[in-house]
Formats: sequence, C-alpha cells, structure tokens
Amino acid sequence: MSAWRPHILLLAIAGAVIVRAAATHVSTEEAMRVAFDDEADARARIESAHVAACRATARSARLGEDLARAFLEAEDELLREAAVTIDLCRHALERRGDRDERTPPIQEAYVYSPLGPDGMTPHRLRALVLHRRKVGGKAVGGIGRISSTEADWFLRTLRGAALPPTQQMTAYFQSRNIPSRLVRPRGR
Amino acid sequence: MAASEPEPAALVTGGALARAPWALILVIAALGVALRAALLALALPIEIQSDEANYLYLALGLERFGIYFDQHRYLWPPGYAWLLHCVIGDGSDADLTTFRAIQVAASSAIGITTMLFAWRLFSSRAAAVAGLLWSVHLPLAAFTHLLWSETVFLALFLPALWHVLAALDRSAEGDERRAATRLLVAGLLLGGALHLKEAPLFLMVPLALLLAWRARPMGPAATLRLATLLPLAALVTLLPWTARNHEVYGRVALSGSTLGENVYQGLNAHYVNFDMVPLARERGRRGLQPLAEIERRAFTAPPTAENGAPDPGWVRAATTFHPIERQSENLRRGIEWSVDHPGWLARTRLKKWSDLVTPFSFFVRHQALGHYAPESGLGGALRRPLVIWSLLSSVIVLLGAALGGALSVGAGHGRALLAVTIGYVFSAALLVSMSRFRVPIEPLLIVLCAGFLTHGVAHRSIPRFLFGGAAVIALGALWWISWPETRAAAAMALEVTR
Repeated sequence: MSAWRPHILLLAIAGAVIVRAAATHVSTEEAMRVAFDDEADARARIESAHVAACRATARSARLGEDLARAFLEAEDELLREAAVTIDLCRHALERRGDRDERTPPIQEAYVYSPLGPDGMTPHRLRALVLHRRKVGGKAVGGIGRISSTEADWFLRTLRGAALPPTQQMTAYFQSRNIPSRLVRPRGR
Repeated sequence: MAASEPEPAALVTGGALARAPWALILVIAALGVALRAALLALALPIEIQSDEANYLYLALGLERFGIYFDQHRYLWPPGYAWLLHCVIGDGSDADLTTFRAIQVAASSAIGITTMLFAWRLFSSRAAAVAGLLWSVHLPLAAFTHLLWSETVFLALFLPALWHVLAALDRSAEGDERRAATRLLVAGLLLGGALHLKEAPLFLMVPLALLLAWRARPMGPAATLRLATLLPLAALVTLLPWTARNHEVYGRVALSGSTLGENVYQGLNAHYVNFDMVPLARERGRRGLQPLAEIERRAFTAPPTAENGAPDPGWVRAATTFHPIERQSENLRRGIEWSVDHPGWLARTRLKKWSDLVTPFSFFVRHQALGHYAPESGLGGALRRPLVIWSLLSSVIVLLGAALGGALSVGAGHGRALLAVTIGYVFSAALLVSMSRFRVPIEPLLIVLCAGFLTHGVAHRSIPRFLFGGAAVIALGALWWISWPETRAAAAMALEVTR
C-alpha cells in the first residue's frame, strides 16, 4: 500500500481542491444579484460580474447595458473601470448582420466623453487604456495594443505618482491612433 | 569527428546525478547567463510587441482588479501574466527590465538541463559542447529579453523532461521508489509549465505510455503506478486553475482554451505562418514585393472552389457566444472543412513542417521588423553579424540534430524520450506552426547536435544511415519549401530601413 502513497496524497489534494471549489461555488443568479447590489463591496461586485459575464452563453443586455450603466454611474472608480473591460463590453456589442458592432456604445460614450477641468485624470487614463488596449482587439472595442509607456502611466496612477501633462498624453494617444481630443467617435 | 565510445555517463546507475560534471556544467551555464545578460543590455531600449503587449495588459488587469481576463478568441493559461503582475506590482519604472533580467537568470535552468541531457545521452564532452551551443544559440537566447513565455516555460518544461528520464533510469534499475519521486517532481514541474503554455498538455499521454512500456518488467501494479504518477501530479498541480475556470466559465478548461482558434488559423483556406504575418504588413509599408507573390504557392494556396475561384474557407463561430464553447465549434468546422480538402491538407502540412524547421527565428524577425532600436547594440553595429549568426546557428543545430539523432545517440529510453517529445512537437505543428513553436525542443536538438559533433557516427548500421540520409534530405526539402520567404525576410533583417 505504501507504494501507492504518492497517488493517495495527490488524490487527497485533488479531493480537497474539488471540495473547496464546490463549497465556494456561486450560482449565476447569486452572481447577478451581487453584481447589481449597490451596497455590496466593489471588488465583490466586479468578481460577480466577471463570473456572470463569462458563464453566459448568449449576449445579455442586462449585463452589457444595465450593469454597465450601473457600474459607470457608480462613485467608485474601480467599478467604472470594470465596466470597460472585456467582460461587459462583450455583452454590450450588438450584432449587425454577420458582424459584431465594432465598438460597445455605452463604454465608448463614457471613455470619449469630454474631459473635465482636471484634464486626463488617473481614472480617465486607466479607463481609456483598459478599454482601448484590451486583448481581443476590435471585436471587443480595442484599438491596437498597449505600449510600455501606457502601462507605465497606468501603474503610476495606481501608486499615486504624477502623470505627464494632459496635452502630452493626448498627443501620445493620438500618435497611436486613439482620438486625442477624446470626443465621441464618428457616428455616435 | 571520429566515432568514440560513450563515457560512463551513458551507462550510469544509482547516484548518476552526483557524478555529472557539475563544475563544468555550472561554469558553462554561468557563461551562457552572462552572454544573455549582455544581450539584454545590448537590446535596451526595447519596446514591447504583439503578444508581449497582451501579456502586459492582462498583468495590469490582475494588478487593478485581481481578475484574469480571457482574450475573447481564446483563453491563455495565466502563468506568464501572473508572473509579470508580480514584478510590475513593485511599481518601479525599471520593472520590465527587471522581469527580463529574471528571465535571463531563469535560463540557467535550461542551460544546465541541456547539458545534463547531453551528459546522460553522450558524455561530459558532449555536455560541454551542448552547453557552449546553448550559450551562443541566439534563437533561444533572444527570448530571455523578450516578453514571450518561452524562457520561463522551458525553465520548467525541460527539467520536467529530465526528471522523467531519471525516472526511466530508476525504473530500469527496478527502483520504483526513486522513480516515483522523480515522476512526482516531473509532474509538478510539468504542471507549472502548463500554467504557461497549453501545448504540452497531451504530451503526458505518450510519456505515460513510454513509462508504462519501460516499467513492464516491474509487474502490472508498479507499471500502473509509474505510468499514472506523472499525469496525476501534473493535473493536480493544474487543478486549482482548472477549478477556477470551471467556476468562472462553467466549463472544463484544464490549462487554457486555444485549440479552436488554432484550428481556425491552421485548418483553413488562408495559409498563416505567424512568423511572416507582421513581416507581410511591414513589406507593404516599405513598398517591398508582397510575400504572397514570393512564397511557393503550391504549398500555401487555398483549394479551388466549385466555381473555379479560390475557396474562401470557413468563418469563425462568432455566433457561439461562450468563449470556451466557441473553441469546440471552431474545431468541428475545421475538421469538417479539412476532410473535404484532403489534397490541400497534405500539401499545406508540408509547409507547416517547413515553417517549424526554418532557420528563421524571433530574433531575426525582430531585426527584420526593426524592433531593436538603432541606438541599441543589437539594432546597431551588431545587427548584421548577429542575424547571420542566428541563421547559421539554426542551420547547424538542425542539421546536427538530424545526424545526431540518426547516427550518434544510442538506443534506450533516453533516445525514446527525445523521440516522443520531438515527435509530439512535430505532430502539434501540423495544426499551426512557426519558428517559435520549435522552442520547446530546441535544447533537445542542441543535445543531439552536440552528440554528433563530439561522437560523430557512433552507431553504424544500414537503417541508421538510411534514417540519417532521409532526415537530412527531408530537412533540405523543407528548407527549400520556405526558402523564398525566408530569404526575403532575412534580407529585411540584414538591410532593414526604418
């Protein structure tokens, strides 16, 4: 029997992982409830939205429009940024014939709304980078790939370091095919 | 290159590892790491490209939300983005350079294991030659300063293979306990590697069969134990991630979920060699002759449809919304289409192998695209000599490996392990292929090349000569297939205009 000890140990670990996964399983209904719960913790809402959005087998206007709006109207910047990630953008895209719409309209409107008096704030920068550089490209609202400069700015915002002047950042984005004035794109 | 008897290294038992020429191995590994560190210094400043940017974006997602997002058309394993996230989380401006330096250090595991393989299969002399080849093999070395997962992956995958070989050795001695220990370690390492790349997932099957075959003399129970331990350990290592995928997607995805997209690219009318995709765009930008006009179309052209026009192929299963379900639908469409076009399938698979064994590499591709800044060492004065060396290095390693595999390596489970692993990579390349997909076996090719350079025709027999001749002819034929675009791309690397 001792010869089987490694197998038994591994199977015991596997069993523990499976039991834990079963014990922490969240139903899709519960995930949706938490995602829409204004009182819930922002991270819990984002994780629940992630689960609900990834499990869906069809586009859900409830996620792509209702929840995206709810997130974008929230006080918490983290929630507003979560609205422009692939999870909800995928659900925000309408189909036009054989093709998906090129841009998720709600997220697009938010990211390209006119800048306030503070210019390119850390939140606006993160939202722009998260939305426009997302992996998956045009099919989910992305344009091109992130550069190390953009990643550096993004990380600077997370650690509270100063950003370059707005003009410099918008000029940079313009040079990389993102509209610099951050107006809504054509046709919207 | 006179034939010579293998040193006792090839015949060792019991405490084999202790008798490896460690001083020699460590000195050469240090040399290889130092050369890679120098390459890194010469490569800076370097901007991230394509998948590098995608990994960084995913790392930022982990940093900001603690969530690993999928990539819409596929789900990559999370390991590389997670490692990046761990480093960029420190917040230093030099984070990416730090990460590249970590890769340089991690490559020592690749160098050491390469030499151990050469020592085990041939001799200490072969280990030294393999180590030197590894040190200066640019197609491999360049990945240490690029943000592709190849280096970290190999630093886990190659040691996993080494422990499988050690397990086969212990198994041959009838020492089941030590064989099991080796397989446990191998499984953990392979599980770690599968967090970085999905590609070796099914390699566990032939490896388990090899282990079972070699363990037969130990009886059915021991055979079962040893054959199942490697996949079990690897899968248990993966299980937390698999469980996460099941919770998030409601579907099973052991490591990643990329097969369907690869089928879309690989079993479809439009031939894709990912080495050449950005080069084709770049040639358009520079006004150079399109690659499609240069390549040998007999191996890439789409089949002809019933109306006489080129068959447009099939479209992605865009209406299947679920990212993982979409993979199986793409797989179904690809297989169905391929069955309908067997002639096209045969001729384009030759091109796949040609793309796999090309002397081209990411280092040369980067040079061809002008990704190394002109003010950097690699993009400046060293560009041309290093491009030439990179191409030559691949030619030497591939030719040497073909001859070493046929004429130098002795029979036994070492050879069987290499054959299974190399055969697996060649099989996988029948779907999608490019020079980068050869990286998992590049150290093994170096080992075989080193064996040939040090031991020459150590094993003389008609079948071996026939096999060696066939391998060299096949290699030459495969190079011929891709020669026009390889030459065009190499010319871009040598005469790049920015």
